[in-house]
Amino acid sequence: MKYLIKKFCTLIITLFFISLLSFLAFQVIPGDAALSKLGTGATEQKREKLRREMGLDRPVLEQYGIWLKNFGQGNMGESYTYSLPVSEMIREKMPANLAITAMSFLMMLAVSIPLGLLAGRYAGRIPDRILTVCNQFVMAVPGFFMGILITCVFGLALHWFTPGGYVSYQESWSGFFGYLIFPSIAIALPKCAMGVKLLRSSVIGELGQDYVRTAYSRGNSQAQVLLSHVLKNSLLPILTFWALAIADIVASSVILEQVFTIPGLGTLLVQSISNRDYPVVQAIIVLIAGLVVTINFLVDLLYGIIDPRIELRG
Amino acid sequence: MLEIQGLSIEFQDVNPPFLAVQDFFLSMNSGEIVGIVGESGSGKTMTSLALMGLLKRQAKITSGSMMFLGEDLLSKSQKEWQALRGKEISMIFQEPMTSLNPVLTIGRQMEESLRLHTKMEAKERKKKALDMMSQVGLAQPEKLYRCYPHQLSGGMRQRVMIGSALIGNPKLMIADEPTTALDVTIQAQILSLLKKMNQEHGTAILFISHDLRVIQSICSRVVVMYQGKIVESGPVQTVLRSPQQAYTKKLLSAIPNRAYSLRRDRKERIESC
Amino acid sequence: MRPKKGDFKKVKKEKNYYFISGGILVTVVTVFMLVGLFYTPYDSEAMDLSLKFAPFTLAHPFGCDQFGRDVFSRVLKGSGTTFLVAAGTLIIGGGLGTLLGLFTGYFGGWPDEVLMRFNDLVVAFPNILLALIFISILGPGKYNVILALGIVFIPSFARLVRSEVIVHRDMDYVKSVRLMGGSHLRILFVHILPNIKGTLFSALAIGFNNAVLSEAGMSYLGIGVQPPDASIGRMMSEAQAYIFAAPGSVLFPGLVMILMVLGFGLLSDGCSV
Repeated sequence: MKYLIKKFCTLIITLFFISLLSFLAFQVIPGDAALSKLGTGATEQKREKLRREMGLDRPVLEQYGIWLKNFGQGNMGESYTYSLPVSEMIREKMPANLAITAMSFLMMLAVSIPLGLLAGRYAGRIPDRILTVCNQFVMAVPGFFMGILITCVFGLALHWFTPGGYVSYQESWSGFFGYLIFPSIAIALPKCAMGVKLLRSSVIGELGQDYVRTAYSRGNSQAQVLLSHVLKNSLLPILTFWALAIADIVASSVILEQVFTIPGLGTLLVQSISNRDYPVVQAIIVLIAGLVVTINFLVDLLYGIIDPRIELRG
Repeated sequence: MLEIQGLSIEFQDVNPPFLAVQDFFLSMNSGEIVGIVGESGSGKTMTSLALMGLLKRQAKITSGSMMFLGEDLLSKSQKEWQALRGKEISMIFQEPMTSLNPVLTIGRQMEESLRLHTKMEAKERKKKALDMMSQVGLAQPEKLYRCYPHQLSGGMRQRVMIGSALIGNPKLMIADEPTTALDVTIQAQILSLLKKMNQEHGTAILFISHDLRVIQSICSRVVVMYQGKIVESGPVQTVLRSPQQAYTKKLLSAIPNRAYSLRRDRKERIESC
Repeated sequence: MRPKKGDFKKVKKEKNYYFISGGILVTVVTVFMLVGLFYTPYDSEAMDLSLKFAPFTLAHPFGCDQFGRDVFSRVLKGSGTTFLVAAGTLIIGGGLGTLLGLFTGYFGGWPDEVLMRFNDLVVAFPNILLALIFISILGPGKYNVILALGIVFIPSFARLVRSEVIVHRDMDYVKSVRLMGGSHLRILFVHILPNIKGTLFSALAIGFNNAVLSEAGMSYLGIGVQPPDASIGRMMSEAQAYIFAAPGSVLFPGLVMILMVLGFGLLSDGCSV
């Protein structure tokens, strides 16, 4: 329980600092928000009026307070470029990223756990050798290049999907997932390779432990030893990697969106950066960072659940 | 019950092949406690692992035979070994700290043999596990059942190991240095527990140790090994009181303050100085 | 069980093999990139529509792109820029990060505490996103990318070096240098730094890869290196639409990157013995 409370406090404090940093980062930018919004054509009085409306004449910390309060209520401000509420724009774009992240993560788990166990179990033998070589290569391929290759092979050559033919989930769920599965594969592959590499060495370490011999001495088969004894132990050090992998997956989805021309958060982010549309940039970054921190918190909880020793340490 | 004849084990991954155990003989009757004694690297652990069919891939049995309950162990398949381990032969190890799985509850590990070898219901298994836990002297079994190994002391863990090894009522239990890692007082408790379990369940125990005092206090017969070979064997009292072989004598003289020290021995030591 | 000689040799040999193959790859790619900084066979921006989508020939080994530009020259040039950005990133991020880690790890106290808390915060942001924030403030361009990535890389290096320094700080050899009157600076740079160089090199190799991948990703998005500077990432995003007409302008930049990442990855594995 102490462990849980401690982790929860860390979560809250981190979230607070993330919001503060993200807010302050965009305060130091030279330039005037009112100017960006109205354009250079507006008169000085008009700009002054807008500045007051936006609260830009108040002290920075007060502005932060107001911003945080609004943000908490789901009001993320208004886009300079489109004059639309940022929250609405994000809500519209977010499902694609969530779907990609979830699918990539699940693929990573589904592939790297069995293969990692296999490679660790047969370390040094042929299946392991083959996997190790493949891993080195897959890990070296940049995410967006993997995306391009997948577009070529599955899209242009095999016609399994139409590149650029993104289907919104409002039109068809199956079309939505059917299209997003390909960028998800592109993101998941390098993560799988990394996951297999880590789990392999973890399994090799665990197989040398005394409790494995004990498990055999009670009559467990090799598969039983691996699944009901070794797996849980060897996953412990991998959990941290998974948490980091999620952050990476989210970041990769921003890039892979461009490869597969998906109108998601990444496209919006890049556009907004080019247009200097700061409320949008700010909101997206706070959201993503918040998501990553929350996932880290959940992984910490997971540690507490599967590692019985942690309660005492924390 | 157990009949080992001319057993030799070889490591084949080194050049030239390394002979870990050479021409080993042992026969055991049911309910008997037999000791194997020797310094580390003398091949005693190899022998016990061979008995469990748990030798590493590099280690090969090159000759000899092992008969257990009239069956030839060497011709057993992986499947048949699994059916045997934990049910007919079980084993406890030196390191009670690391021999238990850190992420599984004591209860889960206690009843694992039942889970693997019987069709018992979960409730029945738990009842047997709790019963066994009080038999091996673990207080508050209900509470311990849900505990994890790191919450227990070394002596308690070794009790858990013994309980989990005996829960399937095996005919033979191999104890590989079960007291070496423990404090002297705990050592004595574990030894008397082993003796008690041997008497109550009739389980034969093959007791492996480098410590002659321990062997003397628990075994009826003893085999002395040196560099993979048997140098001497026979009833404990005979071997220890009048060792025939130079190595056994040396082993005996290595024990400080032993109660059975003989004057002849002392003289020898003085002469050799 | 006794260790067998063969085991250790094998491990070491394999590691060396990583180091050698990584070293060769890295050397080849680095030479390629360095050449690209100073020399290209053709002007990388010169368009010649008569050569549009020209196939691979001796004169244009990688073919020509949609504007008839020589892909080989463009890859060379782009690799050069990439090398510059990655090297600059490492100098800023690796250099400052290492210094910061050395001092905070060695002296501890509140700066260390502050740094670690700040670190925890930064880890929450994926590298590339953090760099994007800086770019959105600084604006795109080669030097801003270097600055942004450099700043982003500082915490990871600081953290790594810090944890290594803490291990060495309390070792006896440091204490004895202290007793002999060595100054703190001398201990840090003459004694501790050489001892952690294996880890540091390994981290630098991985850092180089990350810098290259981040730069390519940002340039691919169009908010990294800007024209007229060539960049592998931007080349690939421009050429992606013409992948069947001019496969060379997507595949070769990709290949250069793969070889480089592979090389540095192997090198890092080889370093971390």
